[in-house]
Amino acid sequence: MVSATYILDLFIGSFVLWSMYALLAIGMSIIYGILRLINFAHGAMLMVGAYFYIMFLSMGLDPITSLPLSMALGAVLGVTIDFFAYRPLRGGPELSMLITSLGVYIFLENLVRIIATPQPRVFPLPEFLKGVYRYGDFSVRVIEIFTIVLTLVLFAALVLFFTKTKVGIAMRATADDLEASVLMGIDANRIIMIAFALASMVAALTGFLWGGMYGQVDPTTGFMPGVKAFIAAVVGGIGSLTGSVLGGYILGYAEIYSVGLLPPEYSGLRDGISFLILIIILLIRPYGLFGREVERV
Amino acid sequence: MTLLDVKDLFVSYGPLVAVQGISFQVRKGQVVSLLGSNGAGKTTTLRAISGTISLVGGKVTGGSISFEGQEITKVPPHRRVRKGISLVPEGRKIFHRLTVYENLVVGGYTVKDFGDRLEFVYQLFPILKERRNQIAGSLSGGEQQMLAIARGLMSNPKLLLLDEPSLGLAPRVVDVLYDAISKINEEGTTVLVVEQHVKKALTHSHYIYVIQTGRIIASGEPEEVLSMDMVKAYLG
Repeated sequence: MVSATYILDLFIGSFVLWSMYALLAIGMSIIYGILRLINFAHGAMLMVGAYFYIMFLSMGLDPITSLPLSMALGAVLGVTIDFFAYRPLRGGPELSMLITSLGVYIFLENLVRIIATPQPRVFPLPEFLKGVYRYGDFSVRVIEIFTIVLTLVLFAALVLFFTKTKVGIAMRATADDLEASVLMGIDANRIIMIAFALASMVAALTGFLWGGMYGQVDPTTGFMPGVKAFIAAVVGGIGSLTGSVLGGYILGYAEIYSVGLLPPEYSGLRDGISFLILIIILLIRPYGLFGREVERV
Repeated sequence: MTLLDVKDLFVSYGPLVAVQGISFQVRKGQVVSLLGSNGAGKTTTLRAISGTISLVGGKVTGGSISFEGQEITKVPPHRRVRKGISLVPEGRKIFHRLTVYENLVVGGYTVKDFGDRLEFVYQLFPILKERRNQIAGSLSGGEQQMLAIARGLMSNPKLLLLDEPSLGLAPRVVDVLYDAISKINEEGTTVLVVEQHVKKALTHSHYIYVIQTGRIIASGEPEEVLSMDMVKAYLG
């Protein structure tokens, strides 16, 4: 018999996983919305972000300084990658950017392998996030609460940014119709830069949360989260922020509950379940839950 | 005073030459019409002036475009908006997923006196004020065209380019739009409008150019142009 505490554990677990998938998926959605690019390299930005954090710590900085610095450096890297890898391809077929993003992923993973060795690194969690709260049988880690709260705050901030600020509204306009936004005096390259900076910064933060949750990182850490975030974004309707959040939730929930409630010998199926959800959703709603048909000219 | 001076302009899409050496001028304070049938090169000409030709795979291959005496052929499209050129494109291209108000916010991206501009366009098209919180994609065709023009006016342009504003709209709506265009002109904005709707253009323009397969074949004041036999034959 499954106890109530166990269900609560699963609930927290799915909430945490949802947070991280949704954060990554939002980044992918922002970039897709504007560039129509499915950025496979986005998962690598999570991994690189985690390594940046470790790097700043090893330089003797404290965690409170290292986290924002790793996010800022992540943003710089995202913008740099756009400048050298994607910008020269703009106006060309969408497929060339897609393939390039796969190349960027492979490049980043191997670059980290060379610089930081392929060995997993211990991810040192700051003291204030190390604790565990216990209530009878039920326990929850501080990093889990931190992840959930931070994600909710970030969502609220992003919603405000995209609906209340001029730049945020301009970004949505650019995603809606790039040519028309240029006619309004918007510098599309600048908007794309902001999109990459924002998405990469959030990915670096997710890297910190991911490392904190699982205690270690290695150069391949970004791969599965990247794939899952892509699935979450597609399930929700890529390009839609609400869709990304919902897609992340469906995925996190399905993964944790399937592992938690199925017999242990089926736990290896957790990744397979994500793909199964993707296939089912795509069969029923090819544009995702919140997606709309992309107009082709 | 000449606001816009297009000289010997050539525009190509790859091997296809869409505009073959047209020259025309728009004087400050006027409403000027470019008339011509489908495929004559009217939209391409406006795209060349707004600079968005590069976004659709086209290129200015010869000639020059001057605005207020300054050559602008090499100026990127978003900067031309800051110089005072605003294009209301063919097919309106409003931001469908944004609200009416958000469309106007984006239209006023480059200006500081956003509040004044908003007041001005709401006065011009009161229906937009009523619908300001509605998603733009849910507006009727006529309202979408009003929004497109209002959005184009938010940047406080010196020259407003209108690409087929009457296309696909009911005659009553077209009347409303052209009344608004006259008002905009009276407020001091110069207007260059591309039309197939000959009657409207004739009654609302100071000067007319007739364009056929990428070349200007006639020009003059409305009565003058209308009396030319070849123009009658061409425009019907």
